[in-house]
Amino acid sequence: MEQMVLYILAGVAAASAIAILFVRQVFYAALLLLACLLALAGIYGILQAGILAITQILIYAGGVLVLIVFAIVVTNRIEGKPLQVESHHRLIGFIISAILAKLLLYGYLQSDFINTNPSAKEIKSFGFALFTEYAAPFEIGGVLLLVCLIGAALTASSFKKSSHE
Amino acid sequence: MNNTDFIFYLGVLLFCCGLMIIFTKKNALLILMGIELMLNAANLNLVLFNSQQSGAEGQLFGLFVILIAVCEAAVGIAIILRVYHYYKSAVPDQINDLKEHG
Repeated sequence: MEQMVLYILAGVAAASAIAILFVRQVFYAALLLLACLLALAGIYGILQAGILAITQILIYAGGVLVLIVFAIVVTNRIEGKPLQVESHHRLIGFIISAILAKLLLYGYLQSDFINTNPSAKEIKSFGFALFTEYAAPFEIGGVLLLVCLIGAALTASSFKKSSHE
Repeated sequence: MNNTDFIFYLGVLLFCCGLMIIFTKKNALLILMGIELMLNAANLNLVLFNSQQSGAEGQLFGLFVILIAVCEAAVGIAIILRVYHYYKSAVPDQINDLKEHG
């Protein structure tokens, strides 16, 4: 059962990632990316990373994709028709991606990862690690989010008054 | 093929799809989507290898990767909107003011 769900989710993720390469409309690409990210959240759940699955759904599906769709709507305004995207350098892109895939698979097959102690993960240990050993990166991450929020708001808004001073 | 290999191959596929999107697409928003896809593929590997070890370090790294990805997406979209207002275009090839003409 779990195996079947894993295969279905992986199929959805792979198919939607490949389909982004071929769609013409940017909005469809955003929806396909959403499907891919939700399928990845399911795979995280199967890999006993429930907290990451929830974070993925909340932040990507609820945050980043909404931002991207909003940006599509705003950059759409002048043409008045759905935002189309064209492709170029298809062959070069494919060759470079294939070389990278070959390299990654070569590196993976050369190494032998030791599968030690595949124990059930608890959210409790995750939380303890996050707030004790990794408290400093957590706090710095909070500051980084605040800085990004202010910076993005200032960059996107038209600050004509302050820019002439 | 066991599950570890299968999920690793999925990660490779997603990463290379993201790379190819970045190379081939002409719209800045799609390039941003390709970057998101690559970050998620890397994240999948972190979670995969963490699921075979004791401890939760891989998941913590995954959480921080998501955090950085969100910041990058927010700032990137803000810059794209700014550039769009200035050039009336979101195609990076058309933004060539610094290119030497002639």
